[in-house]
Amino acid sequence: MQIANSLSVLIQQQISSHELEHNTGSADSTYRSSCPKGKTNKMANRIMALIVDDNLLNQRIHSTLLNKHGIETEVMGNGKEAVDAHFSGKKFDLILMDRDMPVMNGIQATRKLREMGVRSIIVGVSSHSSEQVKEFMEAGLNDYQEKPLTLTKLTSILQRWNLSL
Amino acid sequence: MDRNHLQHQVTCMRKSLFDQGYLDEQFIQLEELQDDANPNFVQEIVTLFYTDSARLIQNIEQALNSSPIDFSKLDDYMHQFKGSSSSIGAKKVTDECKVFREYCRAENAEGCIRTFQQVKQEYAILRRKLEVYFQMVRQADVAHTA
Repeated sequence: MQIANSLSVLIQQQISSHELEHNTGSADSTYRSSCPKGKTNKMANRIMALIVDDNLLNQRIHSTLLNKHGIETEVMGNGKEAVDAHFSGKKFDLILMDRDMPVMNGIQATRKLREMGVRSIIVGVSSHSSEQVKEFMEAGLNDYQEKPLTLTKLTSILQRWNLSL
Repeated sequence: MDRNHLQHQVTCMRKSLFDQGYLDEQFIQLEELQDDANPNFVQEIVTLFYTDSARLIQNIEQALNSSPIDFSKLDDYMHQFKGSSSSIGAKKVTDECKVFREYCRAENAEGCIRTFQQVKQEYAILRRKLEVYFQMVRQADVAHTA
């Protein structure tokens, strides 16, 4: 119970800092700066999500889940592919990051992406104990959900981060 | 056989798979994702599960037969197997995977070998039941559209 509460606090902090980021003054017009990122995308493009997972079943299940919400998806099998894609200029609104993957795991990949200045919403998806979740969160996640993802869990993520169409 | 009877058989078998603990709510999640855009989604995922499982079972057999046993590698394979089985809601298989991992962490080779037999057995039982179930579903579908 205590660990679940600490996790809630961590996530709340992430939400607050995310809201602050988008409401801070910038050169953008009033409309853009007062709207969370998801809503401006609603005007322009569809929401793009990246699924980073080495498990073929989860790749397919999570893609279909997101597609059902009208979100376009791309799939990569490990953290290094995700990092390389961002190096070559790809951008995503949402990244679903698995923890355990070969070549480069989710913790390393998240850390690297944040170092690169990637501001996408990164949601860690895994089946690990709460202590290990803390390390994953501290790598730079915005949020965390236990595997396997369900329609309900995904809906709550999208609502929390204003990613619904 | 009339379509109502076939549909009734499908419903009964589906219910027994849940009641007897072979499947859990995650299977329902897969069913909910099946629609006109993905008409065979559940069978597709289950087929992926069979392929993934075959690969992992082979890897685990090899790892268990090697000397000395690399428990870290074994644990990694079983973690993957547990991931796949829980993704389709294969409850009994997932539970056996968890037991295996405990033996792995304790570096108990005998326990691992014994439990692996259980994992394979549960997997084989589930696979047989699902094959029967999906065959029934297909028959009921054919009768429905006839």
